[in-house]
Amino acid sequence: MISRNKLNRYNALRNVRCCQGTCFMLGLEKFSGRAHFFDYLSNTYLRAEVPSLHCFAFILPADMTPLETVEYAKKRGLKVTLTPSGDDLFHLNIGIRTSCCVGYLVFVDGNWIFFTDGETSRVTSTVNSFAGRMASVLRLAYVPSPMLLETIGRISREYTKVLLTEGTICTTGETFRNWKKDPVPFSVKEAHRQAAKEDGKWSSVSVKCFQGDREVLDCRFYERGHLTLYSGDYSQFYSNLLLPYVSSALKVSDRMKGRERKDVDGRILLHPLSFDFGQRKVTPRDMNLLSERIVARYSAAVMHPGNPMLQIQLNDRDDGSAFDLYVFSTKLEIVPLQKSTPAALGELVALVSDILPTGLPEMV
Amino acid sequence: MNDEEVERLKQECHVYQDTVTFISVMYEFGVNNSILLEIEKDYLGLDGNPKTPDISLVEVGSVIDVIEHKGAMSENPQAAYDEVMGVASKYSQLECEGRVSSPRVALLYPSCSDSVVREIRPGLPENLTLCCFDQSSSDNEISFSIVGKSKSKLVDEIVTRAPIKYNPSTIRSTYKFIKASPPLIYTAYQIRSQFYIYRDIKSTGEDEYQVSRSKLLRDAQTFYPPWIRNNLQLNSSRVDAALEFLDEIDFVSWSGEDDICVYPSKGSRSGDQIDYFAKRLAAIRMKERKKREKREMKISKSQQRGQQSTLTRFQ
Repeated sequence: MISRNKLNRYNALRNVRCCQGTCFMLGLEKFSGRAHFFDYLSNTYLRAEVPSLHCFAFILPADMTPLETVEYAKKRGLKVTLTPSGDDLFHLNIGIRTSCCVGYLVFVDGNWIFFTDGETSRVTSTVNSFAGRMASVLRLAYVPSPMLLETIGRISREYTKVLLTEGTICTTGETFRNWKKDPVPFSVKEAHRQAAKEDGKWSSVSVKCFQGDREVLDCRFYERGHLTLYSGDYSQFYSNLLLPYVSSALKVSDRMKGRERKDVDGRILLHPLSFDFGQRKVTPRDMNLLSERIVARYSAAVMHPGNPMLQIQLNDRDDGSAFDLYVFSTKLEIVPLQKSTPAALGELVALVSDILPTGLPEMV
Repeated sequence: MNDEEVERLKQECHVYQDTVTFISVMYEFGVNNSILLEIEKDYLGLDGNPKTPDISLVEVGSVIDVIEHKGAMSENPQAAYDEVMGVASKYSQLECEGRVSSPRVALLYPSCSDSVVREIRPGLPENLTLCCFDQSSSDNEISFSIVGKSKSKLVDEIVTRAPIKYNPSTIRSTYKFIKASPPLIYTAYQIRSQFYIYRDIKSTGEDEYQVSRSKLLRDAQTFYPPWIRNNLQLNSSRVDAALEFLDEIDFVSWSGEDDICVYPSKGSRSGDQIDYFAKRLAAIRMKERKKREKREMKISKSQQRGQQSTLTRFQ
């Protein structure tokens, strides 16, 4: 097996070539449909000398097809080509400034997944940048940290052993701390304890799955709709990891649906979503930090400046969703106003969780 | 830029929202405790003009209790005294459905004004009930304390059940307006927020889009509490004033018709919108003030010249 560093260097080299006119390995292949594409991945990822496979789960508004979405992207000046390649499979080429990304878009269990290969940082920044510019019609799915750990916990039952090899713990004030120790057996409880110890949350987790003594999967999970297969059996990756991950993302999206403020015969119905900070108090510093970040990202106004409560009324500039955000000493509440799309609400929850990672979003 | 004026304008918005919260909490307090409170009801005053106390209690056709809420009071004792006396005389006699009554008047004032009220208290009428409320030290309850002796049945009812607990997010996201006039920039922000909601996702990225004023009015109506939900005239005058302001600062183009042209990218990188609107309004007012002063100076100069020439003529 070649080392991770070697592989990354190889990927980096290929990506440079890609932006100079050559293409990603995956993007060069032609497929007759989804089944053909999955066969290819199953066969290819059995070999070790393959670049990492990145899967990005997108949420698209129900009334827009991928082709309509791409038309929209073109109107916004993005370089995108989408070519149908059989049922529920599209060849997708994204160009953002000098970087590009090529791969396939596949419809998987209610989500559109973009499969691509290449160097992680380059691919991630290109796709994130694309999703950011397309935010009104397309967003990356979101699996909050506690749910991500639960999902991995469920997955680990399928294997003899799952090792937590590395990850990223996000702490207040956006200090990302890479967590890397000797691999330890994955346990939800232990992962929670580790995050609590650091006063943060896991924003990504890398695991290796074993059947007996044989390593069958090496992959990484992210909160923001991204899953990477470094090496291993694609079929297992698809059915044991990708599908449960997508299902968690869909559950989150579903829980964010239908939360708009409604006027039913003069009675106003609200469906807030709250974050619990447990024993930890939200400090005035936390409130200031949140206020600064929210005002910078959204069209927003501070309606109550804190001491003891902070209230910010905000609009998502991309799709117009409107929210009231309240911060109390041990609780934070987001109250959707007349318009609230699951994608915009998910984005706001993710941002709040990045700024104040000790808060657990309750989505029931 | 006049920073003090900007801060004052922003403070007005915070006080208004706190007042909306307070009045709405009192409304729900009445409903939950089966007390038939009248909220912001119009009566006829001694001078024949309508008077609208914040809270009142009517029994057998007579107004027996009136409570006036002050979200903020002057720190100057003389000005505070005048404010309180103004409340006492304003509601000394009210006419309700042809029946004239002399209600017991109570003033609710914020805890931050307690020292000034205690200072002026000796000179105030004895039958005026003074009650201090604290809305700011807790995020989910309002506490009350009577200063001296209460003459108001309604204040007694409230104080015995205090502190009054409420859910701030529910109240604040349900009600954003009451009958009392909102600050212009507050309404402007609510309208601006509404514009985003009307945006079609497929038109995102366009430089402008059209919004219908009648739809805007209909939707803004849902942010009024039940006792004023159907006051269309009140709502439309506020919305129109806000639209004129937004037109003035180039956020929209509006000529008084139903069509409003919205420029979504305007002010999108200007930070806190209330702060931004306050700065713009302060600048507009300062410009107007300077213009007015210049005009007045011109008039007075020409009057002086006129007087001089008349004097010369008559010399």
